[in-house]
Amino acid sequence: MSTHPSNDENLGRFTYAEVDRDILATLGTPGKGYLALLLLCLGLVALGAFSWTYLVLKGIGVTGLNNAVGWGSLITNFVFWVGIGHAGTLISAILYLLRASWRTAIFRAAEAATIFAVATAGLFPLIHIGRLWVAFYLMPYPNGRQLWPNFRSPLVWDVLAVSTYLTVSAIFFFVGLIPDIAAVRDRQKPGPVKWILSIASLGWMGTMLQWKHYMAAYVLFAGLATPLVISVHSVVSWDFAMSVIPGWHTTIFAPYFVAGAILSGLAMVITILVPLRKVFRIEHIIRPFHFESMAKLLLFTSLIVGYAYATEFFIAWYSGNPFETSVFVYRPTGDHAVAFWTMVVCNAVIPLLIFRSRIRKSLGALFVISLFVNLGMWFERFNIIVTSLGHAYMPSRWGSYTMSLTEWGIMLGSFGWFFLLFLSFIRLLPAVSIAEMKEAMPAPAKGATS
Amino acid sequence: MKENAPGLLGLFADTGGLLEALRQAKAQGIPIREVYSPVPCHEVEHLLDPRPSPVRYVTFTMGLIGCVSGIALAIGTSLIWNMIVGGKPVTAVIPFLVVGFELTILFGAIGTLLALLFWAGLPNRRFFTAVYRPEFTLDRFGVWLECRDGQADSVRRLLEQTGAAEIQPVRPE
Repeated sequence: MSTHPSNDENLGRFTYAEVDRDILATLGTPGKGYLALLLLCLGLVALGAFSWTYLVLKGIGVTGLNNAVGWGSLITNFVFWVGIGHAGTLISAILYLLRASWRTAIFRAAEAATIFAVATAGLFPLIHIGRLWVAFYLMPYPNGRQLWPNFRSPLVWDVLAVSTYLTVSAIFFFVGLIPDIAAVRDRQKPGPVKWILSIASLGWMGTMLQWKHYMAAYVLFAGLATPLVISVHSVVSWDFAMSVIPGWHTTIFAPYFVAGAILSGLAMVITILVPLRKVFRIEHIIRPFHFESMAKLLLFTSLIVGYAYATEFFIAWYSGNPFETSVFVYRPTGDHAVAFWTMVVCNAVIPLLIFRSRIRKSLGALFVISLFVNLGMWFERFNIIVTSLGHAYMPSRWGSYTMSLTEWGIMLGSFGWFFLLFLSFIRLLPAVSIAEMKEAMPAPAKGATS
Repeated sequence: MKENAPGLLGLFADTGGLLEALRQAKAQGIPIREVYSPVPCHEVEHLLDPRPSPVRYVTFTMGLIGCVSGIALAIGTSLIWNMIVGGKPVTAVIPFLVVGFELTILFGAIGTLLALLFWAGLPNRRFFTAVYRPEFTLDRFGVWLECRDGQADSVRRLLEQTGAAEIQPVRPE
């Protein structure tokens, strides 16, 4: 909306052409550092592919899973990566509806992180089921087996929620890219690249008719994505909460997971953007002001998560349920106490530093805090999954769990996969939305908004 | 509208001049063939056609279809195997609402995309031969005014007076 107020006064200092030039400069020839990172990611992906192949050939027994702990690092990674995606949708859709104009400079990168994170997460249920060639049983379609999925199961809701999320996020992302691909196209010399971009931009010309329907659709996409993102992590939390395992069977799981997802996602966006703005010399576009806004959101979600941790303990005690109490004594003192305390310190204690304005304004400090939160959120999922399964009901069925080397390989591979996708994206397409940056700027003449 | 009527394409550096040119063209009855812009502009949209985009009706209808089909799918397939699972009724309303909800969003989003492509004329197959300037994605606003018999001079004057940075004659294929 060209008329909505921008609280980012910095934008008034640029012209449209300067925005174009600076953002398109990120698509130039890559440096050595970039290629080294790309190679590292490729190496990790190869390690992950090798480990997954090994798992498929040998069977799920090569993981640390056992009779007591049937879900382990693979499901932990699934929940972790789905959560990472949530900040992108928060920034691109929810903040769009709320007219928070500071999202403009960062939403494209966050949205890309969403899609790549969900694309990474989606692999884990396939890995976890072991025999991935029967994964299609989960999809509802008329088939020769005369069988349908059980729609009362949260695992089937999960299939629907995550695949809908991936589809809708991808649509939102690619629709947002259309005017920018057109901008890249128009700066090219005639040749095959221009031709490909002309096709990819769907022949966008920026006519008023196109803009009108485009803006109408964009707000509708944002409106659809907003309840969707909340539903996705709620449904993921119900994978646990719908069961009767102590420590899982609780009504706070949905809001607790959604807040945790946004916390982890924001941390990942900060982790990515701090080096990105420096490497691509777009410090004047993605500024400390944007990080401060994200840090405040991160602090807010961290407080919710910290509160949820406390509530879980309170309910365990207040319910008087011995099984519930037992799990909550086991978490901070048992085999996986390190995971528990890492989670508490990283997610609920370290982010409290953001209350100090000096820390909030320091990108270095925020970068370090974001790394801790990433770590803490991974351990949160691990803590929830493993300690509950390992300590449920009868002591005779208790057990413990250690990640096997294969699982380590797959996990490292997933990080390689995510960053490989992201690195490819920032070289191929504008990581900051050109059209929306211009839109957020004052129009190029006085009296334009008469 | 004649497809191959000659016209003039005026390029503006600001929306103020563009809006003025559009207002005058409308007042003088000069047909406005196309307006180009690097950013969406509400004033121009309002001037050309104040009716809201019909995309939202498609979103709503498709969302509704998605909701009904999701719930119908869950109920229908449960009735095929009339069996109590997990202590829940065969047609368990609450779990099926989740299925209905997800399909509402999925169908709504796909419907919105199709509606956008339809009304915005995308993919635009005539892009390669269309009247267009690459500056329209950079920092120029464009207006293409049709020149009927003998109007060429007055159209050119209108564009000059409203501050067009460049005026280019166009004759579409």
